[in-house]
Order: sequence, then C-alpha cells, then structure tokens
Amino acid sequence: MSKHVLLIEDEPNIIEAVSFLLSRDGYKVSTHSNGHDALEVIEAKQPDLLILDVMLPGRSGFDILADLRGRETGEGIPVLMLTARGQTKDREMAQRIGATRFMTKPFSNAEIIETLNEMSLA
Amino acid sequence: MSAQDEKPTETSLQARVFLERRSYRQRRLIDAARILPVVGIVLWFVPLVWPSAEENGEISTSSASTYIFTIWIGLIVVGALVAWRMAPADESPTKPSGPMDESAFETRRRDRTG
Amino acid sequence: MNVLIVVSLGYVLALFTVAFMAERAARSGRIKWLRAPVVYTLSLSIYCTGWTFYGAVGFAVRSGLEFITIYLGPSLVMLGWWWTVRKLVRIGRTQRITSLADLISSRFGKSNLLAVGLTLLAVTGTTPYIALQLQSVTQSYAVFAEASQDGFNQTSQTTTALWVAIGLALFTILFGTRKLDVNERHDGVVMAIAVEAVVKLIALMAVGIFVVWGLSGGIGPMLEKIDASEIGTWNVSGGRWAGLTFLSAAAFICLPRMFHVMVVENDDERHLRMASWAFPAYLMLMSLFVLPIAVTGLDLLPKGSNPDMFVLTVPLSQGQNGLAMLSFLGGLSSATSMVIVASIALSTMVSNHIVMPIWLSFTGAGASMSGDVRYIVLLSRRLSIAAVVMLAYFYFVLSGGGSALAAIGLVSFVGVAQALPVMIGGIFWRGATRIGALSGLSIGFVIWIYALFLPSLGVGVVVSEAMMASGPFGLTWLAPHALFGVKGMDPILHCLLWSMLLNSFAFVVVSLCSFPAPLERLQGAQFVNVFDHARSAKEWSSGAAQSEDLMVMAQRILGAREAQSLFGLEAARQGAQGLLPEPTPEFLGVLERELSGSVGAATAHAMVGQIVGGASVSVDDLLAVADESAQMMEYSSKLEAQSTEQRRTAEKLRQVNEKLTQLSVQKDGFLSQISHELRTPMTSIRSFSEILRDSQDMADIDKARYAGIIHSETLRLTRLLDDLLDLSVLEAGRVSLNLSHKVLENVIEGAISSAGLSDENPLLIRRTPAREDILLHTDVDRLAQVFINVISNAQKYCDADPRQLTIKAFQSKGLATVDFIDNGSKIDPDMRDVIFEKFSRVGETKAGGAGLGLAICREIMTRLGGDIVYLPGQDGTAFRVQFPIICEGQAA
Repeated sequence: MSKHVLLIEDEPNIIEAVSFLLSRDGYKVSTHSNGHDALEVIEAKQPDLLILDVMLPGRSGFDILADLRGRETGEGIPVLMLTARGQTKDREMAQRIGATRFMTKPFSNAEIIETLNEMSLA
Repeated sequence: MSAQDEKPTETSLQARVFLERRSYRQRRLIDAARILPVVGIVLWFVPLVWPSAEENGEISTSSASTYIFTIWIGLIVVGALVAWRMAPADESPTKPSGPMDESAFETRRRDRTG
Repeated sequence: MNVLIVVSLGYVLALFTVAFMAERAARSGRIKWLRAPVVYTLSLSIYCTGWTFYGAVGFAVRSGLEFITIYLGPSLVMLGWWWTVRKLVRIGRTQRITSLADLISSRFGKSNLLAVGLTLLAVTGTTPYIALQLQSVTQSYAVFAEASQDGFNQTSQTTTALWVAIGLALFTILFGTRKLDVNERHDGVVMAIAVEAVVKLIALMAVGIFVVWGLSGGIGPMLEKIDASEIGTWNVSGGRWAGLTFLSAAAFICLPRMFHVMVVENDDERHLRMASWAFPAYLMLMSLFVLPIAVTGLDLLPKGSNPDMFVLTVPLSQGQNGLAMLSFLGGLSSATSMVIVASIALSTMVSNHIVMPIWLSFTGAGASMSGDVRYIVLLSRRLSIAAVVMLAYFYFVLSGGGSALAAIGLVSFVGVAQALPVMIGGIFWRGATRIGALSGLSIGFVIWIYALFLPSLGVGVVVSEAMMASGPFGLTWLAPHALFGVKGMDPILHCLLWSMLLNSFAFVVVSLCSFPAPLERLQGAQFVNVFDHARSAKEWSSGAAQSEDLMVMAQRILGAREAQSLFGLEAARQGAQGLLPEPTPEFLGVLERELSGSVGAATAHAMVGQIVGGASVSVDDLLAVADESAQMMEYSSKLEAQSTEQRRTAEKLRQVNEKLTQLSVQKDGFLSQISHELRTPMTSIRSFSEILRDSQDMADIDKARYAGIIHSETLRLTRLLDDLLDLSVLEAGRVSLNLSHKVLENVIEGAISSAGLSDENPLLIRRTPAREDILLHTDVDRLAQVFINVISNAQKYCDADPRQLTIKAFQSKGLATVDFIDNGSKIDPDMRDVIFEKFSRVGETKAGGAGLGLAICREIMTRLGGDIVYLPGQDGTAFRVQFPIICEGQAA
C-alpha cells in the first residue's frame, strides 16, 4: 500500500520536481502552496508523511509544525522540514519543535527519497 | 531703642540739660507739623454739614468764604511759625547727637510697626 | 492786535533771556540765589495752569465756592509736608529718582513694566491737559482779537495754537535738554517758571484789586455784591466738596509735572520748610479774588458771555487795556509754564522707560557703546518733547476745543490720581509688592478709561448712547456712569470712588497674597526706611544696622552659609565680637566682588551702594546694569540655542541609532534571505538536472519542459546577481550616466509597458499625460528603471480591490516631481525609513524580489541629483520621485 505524502511548498518548480520524484518511487503525493490554511489541509488529508517548507507565504513552517504537534491528530505524523536558509539555528529550531527530519536546499534527489523511505519505515 | 536716648555722653550736665530742652522743643514742633494738616482737614470739612441752597440753607457765600480764608490764613501762619522755629535744628544736620536723631528714631519706630 | 503780538513775543523773549542767564549763572557756579527756597516755592505754582488762571472764575460762576477745593487739597498736602512730601523728596534725592514712573518702578524692584504702565497713564492723562493750555492761550487771544474788531476765525485759532505749540516745544528742547544731568535739574527752566509764577500772581491780583477797589468800592460792598449775586448762597454738595479736595490733593503729588518740580528739581530738602507755608499762601492769594471777579463779570457783562474769559473781558469792558494785557500775560505764563514742565516730565518718562529700553534691546550689542548712549538719550528726550507737544496740538485740533476740552481738567486729575495708592503704599508699607502694584494700577486705569475718560470725549464718540444708558451688552450694572448700579452720582465722584476703592483694594490684597523678589524687598526697605540710614550715618548703631542689612542681602544672594562665613571671617580679622564686622571700605570691596560673581558687577555695586551710601545709583550705574543684563540675556539666549541644538542632535542620534538597530536585524534577515533567494532556484536546477541525468526513458516533451525550467531558474539567478552588482556599482559611485533628451510622458509610458502588468489581477493606472509634457535631459533609462520598480511594487503589493495607481507629475523651479499613489494599505511608519535599505522587504511575504529594488532606486535618484521618498498622508502607499529636469551630469 502506497504511503500518502503531503508536500507543502510555495515554489512551483520545486513542487513539480519533488512530486515527480515521489510518484515515480510509488508514493501518493498531494500538494499545497501556502501557509494560511496548511493546518486545515493536513487535518483534512491525514497524510502518512508530511514535507514542510519553512518559508511559506502567510505562515512560517515552524508555526505550522508547532501547532500541529499540539494537536491530537497531528502528534504522530512524521515531518520532513525543508529550508533554503541554510542556517544551523533553523535546524535546531526544527528539532526542538518536533520535526522528524530536516533538510537544506538544494538537496539531491536520492537524498530526499532515501530520507522519506527511512521515515515511512520507522 | 530707648536706651539710645539715655546713653550717657561726655557732655557736661549743663550742655545735656540744654540739649534735652532743645530736643524736647523740636519734638513738639514736629508734632505740630504733623497735626497741622489734620486740623486743616477737620476745619475745612466743617462745610460738609452746612445745608446747601437746595436744602433751603441760608449760609451766604461771603460768610462761607470768610470762614474758609480765615482758616487758610491761620494754617499758613502756624505753618510758617513751625517751619521758622524748626530751622536752627536743620541748619546743623551733621551734629552727631543732634535733636533730629530722635525724630529719626520715631520715624523708624513708626515705620516698623506700621 | 499787533501790539498784543509784540508784547507776547517780547514776553517770550524775556523768558528765554531769564532761562539763558540762569543757565549761565549755574554753569559759573553762582547757584545759591538760583536755588533759593522762594524759587522752589514759586516753581510749585505750575499747579496753577492756564485752566486754573482763567477757568477758576468760570468754575466759580457755575458752582460757587466749590472752585476753592482745587486749592484746598494742595494746601493740605504742603501743610502736611512732614508726612509725605518730605519723604518723597528724601527718597527722590537718595535714589536719584527721575520721574514718578521711575519712583514706582524703583520701589518695586525696578520693574520696567510698571514704569511703562505709569508712563502710558501719565501720557494719556496729561496730553489732553496740555491741549487745554493751548486752548486757553488761543481763546484768550481770540478775545483780544474780537475786542479789537479783527477777523479771527477758527482756522487762525488753530494756527495760533500751532505757533504756540512750536514755540513751547522749542523752548523746552532748548532749556530742558541742554545737557543730560544725573539729577535731572534744569536751572533755566526752573527760573523761568518762577518768574512766570510771579507774573501770573500779579496779573490775577491786579485784576482782583481793580474789581474790588476800582469797580465795587472796597471789601464791604464787594461782599454784599457777592451775597446778592446768583451764587450768593452756599450751595455745594458735601460729596463734591470732600471728593474734589481729596482729588486735588492726590493729583498734586501724582501729576507728572508736580512730581517733577517738587521732587526731581528739588535742590535742598530744607526748601520744603518754606514751601510748606508759602505755597499755601500763594494758592490763597490766587483764589482770593476769584469770587469778586466772577461776581463782577456776572454783573457787568451781557448774559451768555463766556465766564472762563472774565479775567480778560472784565478789564476790557472797562477800557482797561493795559490791565487786560497784563492779565493776558498772566494766562500765557500759566499755560506756558505748565506745558514746558509737563513735557519735560513726560519726555523723561517716555525716553527712560519706553524709548531707551527699546533702543537698547534693538541695538542689542551691549557693553561697548556707553559713549553713544548720552547722545541717544538726549535725542530721544528731544523727540519725545516734540511728540508730546504735537500730540496735544492734534488733540486740540481734533477735539475742536470748546467745553469738551474744558471738562478734561478734572478727568485728567482722576487719571493721574490712580498712582496715589501705589505711591503712598510704596513709601510707607514694606509689604507692598510689584504684582500688587500692577494689579491696583491696571484696575484703576481701566476703570478710569472706561467710566470717565472715554465718556468724557462725548457720548457717541467712543461710547454709544445706548451703552451709557444700559451698559455694554445690556449689562446695566456696567453702565459707565452707574457702575454696580450706583446711579445718579456725579460722574467725576463716581469714577473717583470706584477706581480708588478697587485700585487700593486690589493693590493691598494682591500685595498680601504675593511674595516680593529680593530686589523688591531691598528697595522696599530703602524707601520705607529712608530716614534711618541717612540721618546718622556715622553712628555705631547704624554701622551695625548697615552690616546687618548687608548680611541680609548677602545671604539672599550668596546663600546663608557662605555669607555667614564671609562675614564671620571679616569680623574675626577686625577683632570684633560676633558675626558682624564694620563695613570698612576694604570689606565692602570684598563683598562687592563676591556678590558680582552672582549678580554682575554693576548690580552688586548698586546694591551695596544703596545700603551703605543710602544713595547713589547714577545714570551710569543704571546703564551699566542695563548693559550687563543685556549681556546676560544674550548669553542665556545663546545657551538656550545651544541646548536646543543639543536636543536636536540627540534626537537625530536617537533616530540614527534606531535605524541602525533595525538595519542589523535586517542584515541578519537578509543573509538568510539572500541564501533563500539563491538556494531556491538552485534546488529546482539540481533536482531537474538529476532527473534528466538519471532517466533514460523520458518523453522528449518532458525533457524539453524540464530543461526549460532549468533555463528559467538560471535566468532568475542571473537577474539576482545583476541586481546585486548594479547596486554595488551604484553605491560605489562608479556608474556613468547616459544623458539624453526625452519627454517625461514617454518615459512613464515605457515604464508602464515594461512593468509587465498581468491581466488576471489588473492594476488600473490613472494619469494626466498633459502634465507629463516635460522635456527631460537626464539618464532616461535609469529613470525608467526607477519607474518600473515603483510600478511593479504597486503591482505586487497593492491589496485593494479594484486596484489602482495614480501617477501625478508636475514641475517647479527646475525640478520634476512624479508621485505614484496606489489605493492599497499604507506602509507602517516605522518601516518607511527601512524600505529603501538593501534587502528589505515589507513583511515576510514572498513577492519574487530580493528586496533590492527600492535601494537601487534610491541610488539611481541620488546619481540623477534627485531623490525618492515615501510620501505620507495619502490614501495608500505613495512614493515621490523628484529630480532635476536638466541633469547636471554627474557622470564620473
């Protein structure tokens, strides 16, 4: 049974690339591109895995994650955070608020697939 | 302050008696000078109680003016006398313990209480 | 007629000679006979003016014996010299008082405000009175002219008045401002008015003797004639009798001219002793024949003839032309002496308290010009005299003479009497304060103006009939002649009562409630206790008193402990017991130096001098004080300017600091921002290039698509790098401008089409192309770059619906201005400075740019010699781009 991945990211080209990679590897992918209503989308779609960008229009990825971890339904979802800012304090922040994995852009295709596989097995 | 008056000086007894008599005379002259205008006011304000012609008064202008001018002349004469008698005192104002001292004290006393 | 002119001119010439001789005698030191007590006494006779000379008879015809109150008041004042006049004279001498205004301002801490107020009061009260003198001269002249059947109309009356005015001004300037004397004494003038006093007394008595013995046959028949006349019975209201006596007494010491001759011109206090009885005698003689002349005039002259001129018309009607001539000279004397002294007194006040302070404050510079001051003072005196006399002349012409003017005599008395409470309070009561004096005087002055002076100009002139009847705004209790509902009183008495009552009340109550300044208290003690120091200056007790006073003053200025230790040290040095040393010259020098550190040397000298010498603040001292205060004011205003400057600098520093703090936050934010901007396209590029590399079985169409994405993302990277480069070049100033001609309209047009406005979310652009018809000579491509940036910002950020952008262009003074105003939300005030900085973006929202646009715009505009700023106060976000139409070409 294929895992359901929700990708929340605002850059269309990146959405296209990641969707392509994941569907090719057997994941079921849905996407969303802003921060305002991200939480509602997550609640509605109940994904198995979540990929969350930090810099989103409307609301930052950190805020969304922190909120998600506070909710009963969102407690157990494994989350991969993506950032383009490449600062260690972003990584620490992500760990502290409960991201499962953290990845800095740009990443290699193999790297992201591998990470997701590990997360879905855990 | 009154101690000042009795302060013994090196002058002879005779001189002291003379000075004190003179100083007494001067003080009374100053009293007269002070009281003169008061007398003038009182006498010249007597016409205030005279009935006017509108109140059927019968006082003639000639007697009224005679009254006023008589007082006037009286005041002038007394004033001249006082001024004339006062003269010797002022003529020697540098005298260390002249009779004017006391008047100065009196002025001061009056001013401080007033 | 010609005889009259010749006699008048001859008389005036004689006066000039007398004044001239007196001045010369004074200069050669033969002062003694000039300043005899009898001269002083006679100089006081300027109380009897032309108005009294002629008018007393008219007064008697109208009101009987009531006229005599005008003489009783001054007689009482002089008979009571020991109470008040003696003290005034002593104060005037020890304090070098130059005028009534000076006396009162001195007493209340040298307040110039008070001096100015009193000067105004004096000028208001005296000018009509001088006009009255001009009238009496012209009227008497007219009487003569009529008698000699000459044509003498109104025009020539004003001409006479003008000549009289000019002559008097000339005489006064000549002898009144010959030199600037510290004591303000004028020997020539005093001698001349003494001669005039004799002339007017002789003239009036001659006419009197003529009517009593020449016409009526002696004293007895005269008295009978008086009793038989229409004023033969006592008919004086008690209120007016007492009120007018009081009024004349008050005016006698408050009239500027009386104060001048009595106090300022006084040479020796002992002269008062003679004046105390001789002046009442003079007044008695002046009034002795008033009733007989009045009654004879009523008897002999036709009904309706002017009683004010009986002194002239009675002798004329009897063919006694010589006597009439003498009487005319008497009237002329009375009028001229009054005008001369009054204008000297007024000019002293006007010059010392109004002109000089203004001049000093205008020229400002201060200490270095004491040499010029004397000349300036004299000049301002002369101009003031001319001004006062001419003012009176115009008053005479405008009022048209007549009875309106005649009524002004008593009105003027009530006006100057307003100074009485403050003056008496000032010299007898140490508790009187400046604020109290100001309050009392102001209230008195206002009531006088309102309730007496303005109505006296005639109903309907200033005060309307309705207002007289029912008060202003229908407030009946404020009707000028019936204040607080007291109706039916004689206007003079009514105003006298209320003004004096409220004036004194305000003066006393406010004084009790306020606290005097140190200088005020010092002056108060000096004035009230004027007899203390001077009488026994050499005595030990007074030495102690002096030391004590010095200590009191020193404590106020230096502080208690410093003063006490200073005095204690000196006492120990002198070997004296206790804290009080002898005021030796050495010690006074030390003390003065100590004090001058706090209050300035001139003031310190004046203060010490006042206590020790009981005297001597000279004009020079006062000028030095003025200079010093001017310097202090200058210094303090400089300080003030400095501290304002400092405040401004501090404010600027604070703003810069705030901006720096914000910038450093911004900088951190930018580093991650630039990282994000670079990494984002690189992510796509890396991902798709790996996909292309790893997938062999991919459709061509997909391959092409992914390669396209990679291509566009590379372009995006290139653009970002270009921007960064552009900015750094601009910032370094290494850009070269490519100047060319283009019309602004076309530049905007091009910018709009390059901004790439999308159709899905349209931005409506509103313009007025006609106003954009400005031919520019500048780097039009760079300018277009700025416009594109601003327009695309509006495109990105404007959040209204429907969205619109207004572009307004205009030019002025060689500058073109283009405003871009959208209808979206505004930028927060605290962000308005930051948006022009590099890498800043409004908010965290993503809008494609890296936050370099506006920074680049600002750099470009600076290069073009213009600027781009946020334009506050508009409906939405607005930017103003401003630049020279002709760029000066700053190309490097």
